[in-house]
Amino acid sequence: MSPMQVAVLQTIVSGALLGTLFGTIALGVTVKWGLLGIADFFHVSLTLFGAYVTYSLVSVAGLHPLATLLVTVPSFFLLGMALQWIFVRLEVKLFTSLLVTFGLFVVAESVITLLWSADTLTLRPVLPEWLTAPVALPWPLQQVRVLPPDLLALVAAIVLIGTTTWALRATRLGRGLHAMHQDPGIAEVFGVRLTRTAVLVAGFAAGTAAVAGMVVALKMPLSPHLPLHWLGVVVVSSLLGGLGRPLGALIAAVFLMIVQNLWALFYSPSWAPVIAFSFLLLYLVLQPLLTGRGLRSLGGAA
Amino acid sequence: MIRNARGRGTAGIVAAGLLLAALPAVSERTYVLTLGYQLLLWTTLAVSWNLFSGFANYPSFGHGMFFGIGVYTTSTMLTATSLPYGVAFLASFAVAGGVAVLLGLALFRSTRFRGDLFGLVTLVLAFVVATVVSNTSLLDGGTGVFVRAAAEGTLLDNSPARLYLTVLALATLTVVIAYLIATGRWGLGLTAIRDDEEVAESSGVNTYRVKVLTFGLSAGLAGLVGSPHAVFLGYVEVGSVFPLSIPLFVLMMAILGGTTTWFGPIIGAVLVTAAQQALIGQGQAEVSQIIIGMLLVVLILVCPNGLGGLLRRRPREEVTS
Repeated sequence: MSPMQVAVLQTIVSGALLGTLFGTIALGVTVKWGLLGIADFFHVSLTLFGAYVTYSLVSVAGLHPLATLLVTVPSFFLLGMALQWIFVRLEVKLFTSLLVTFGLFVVAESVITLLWSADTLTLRPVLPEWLTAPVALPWPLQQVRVLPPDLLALVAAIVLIGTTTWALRATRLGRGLHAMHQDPGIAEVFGVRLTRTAVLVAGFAAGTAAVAGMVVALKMPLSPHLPLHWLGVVVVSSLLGGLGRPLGALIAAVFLMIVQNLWALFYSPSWAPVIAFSFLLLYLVLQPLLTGRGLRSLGGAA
Repeated sequence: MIRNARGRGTAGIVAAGLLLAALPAVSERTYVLTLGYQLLLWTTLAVSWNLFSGFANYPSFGHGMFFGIGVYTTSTMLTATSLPYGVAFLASFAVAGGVAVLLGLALFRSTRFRGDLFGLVTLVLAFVVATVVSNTSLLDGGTGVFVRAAAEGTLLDNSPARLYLTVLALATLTVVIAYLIATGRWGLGLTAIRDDEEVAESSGVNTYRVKVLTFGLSAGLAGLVGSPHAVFLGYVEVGSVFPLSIPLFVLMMAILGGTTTWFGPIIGAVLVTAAQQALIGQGQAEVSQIIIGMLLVVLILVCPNGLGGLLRRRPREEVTS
C-alpha cells in the first residue's frame, strides 16, 4: 500500500474508533433526552468526571484500570438516580432541564479544575504494557496502528449500546419507558411505576458515563475543558441518530468522526470541529424536506 | 412638561442615566469606574437578552456570541483599517444584528425552533463562530489581537472615564428600548408570542416579523456593547471573548430578576455582578463560578419565574413544551 493509502486507512480506523467512544457518551444523552425528556449536558461533564476519578484510582490508589469500574459504576449510578429523583420531584420540564444541566456543566468544569488543577494529566506512564503496546491487526489493516484503549472503546460501545438497544425493546423496563414516554398517565394505569423507571434509567445512564470515563482516562490526556469539545459531537450524534435511539447515535458518531478526521487529514485540522455542527445545521435546515425516524423524534422533542 | 406615562417613564430612565454620568466627576479612581463599567455592561447584556429571549420566551444561549461578534468587529476595524472609532462602533451593531436577522429569517420559518432546539442551535453557532474567529487570521487567527495601541487617540482613548460613559449611554439606550417595547404594542405582540404563538398569529400579530426584528435588535445591542469592550480588554482573544460563562451569567441575571418585566434583568445584573465582585475579591475565580452556577441551578429549580415575576403578579401556566 502507498503511504497515502495507509494514512487514509489509519484516519478512517482511528476516526471510527473515536466515534465509538462518542457513541458511548451519547448513549446516556440520547436515552435521557428522547425518553425521559431531560436534555442532559451534564452527562458529558459526568463522563470527564469519571475519567478523572479513574485517573486518581489508578495513579494514586494503584487500582487496576478495569477494577475501577467496581467503584465508579455503582457510585455514578447512585448519583444519576439522586439527580433524576430531584428532577422528578420538582417536575422539571425539558427546557428547564437544559438550563439546569447547562449550569451544572459550567460548574463541573470549575469543580474539576479546583480538584485536579487545569494542567493536563495523563495515565500513560503508569499503565501496564498490555494497555499501551499497539495491537496487531489482521489483513488488510496490518499497517494501521491501533492501541488497546481504542479497542476498549469499541468493546464498551458494543456491549453498552447492544444491551441498551435490546433492553429498550425486550424488557419490561424498556417497554415501560416507551409507554411512559408516549403517555405517562396511561402507562401508570397499566402498572408502570413512573418515578422508579425514570430514576433507574437515569442511574443506568450515569453508570455508562463512568464506563466511558474509564475509556477516556486510558485513551487520552485529561483536561477540564474536554467536555466543551465533546459536547458538539455528542449532541449532534444524538439528534442525527434520532433521540432515544442509542444505535442511531453510535452510527452518527462514527460517521461524524470519520468525516471529521478525513477533513483534518486533507484540509486544516483546526477547522475540523465545525464539521459536526455543519452537519447538524444542514440537517436542521433540510429537515422539512426529509422524512425519517430521526426527524420524527426531533419533531416530538420540539 | 411631558404628558403621557411612557414619555415620563423614558424621561425618568434618561434622568437616572444622567445622574450616573456624574460618577467620573465624583471619583476618578479606576477601580470605581471599572466596577461601574462592569455593572453597566452586564445590565446592557441582560436587558438586551431579555428583549427577545425573555419577553417572547425564546431563551438563547447565543448572546455571548453576539457580544463577541461586536468585540471582534471593533478590534478588527481598529487594527486593520484606519476608519474612525465611530464607524467600528456602528459596524459592531450592524454585524451582530445582521447575523441574528439572517439566523432568525432561517430559524423562525419553522415553529419547531423554540425551547430546547432554539437554545441548542444558538449554542452550536457560538462554537462555530468561535472556531471561525480563531482560524481567520484577519480576525484573530489564534494569536489574539492587541487593541490598546490602535485605540489610542480615538474617541475612547483607553480612558476609564470615557469607557464608563460610553457603556452608560448604551445601558440607558437599552433600558429605554426595553421600557418602550414592554409598555407598547410591540411588547404586547411579544407577550402574545410568549403565551401562545398560534393564537398570537391569528389575532393579527405578524409573529415571524416580530421575532426576526426583535432577535436582531437584541443581538445588535449585545454587539454594540461589545465594541467598547474590545477597547476595555485591550488585548482580545477567543478564550476570553467567547467563554460559556457569558451566556450563563446573562441567563442567570435575567431569570433571577424576572424575564417578564423590563426592569427585572437590571435587578438581576446588579445582584449577580455584586456577588461576583465580592467573590472575586476573595481571590477565588473558580469558586465564584461554582457558586454562581449552583445558584442558577437552584434558582431555576425552585422559582423559575424569578424574583421580578414573583413581585409583579402570579405567573400564568407555562404554555411551551
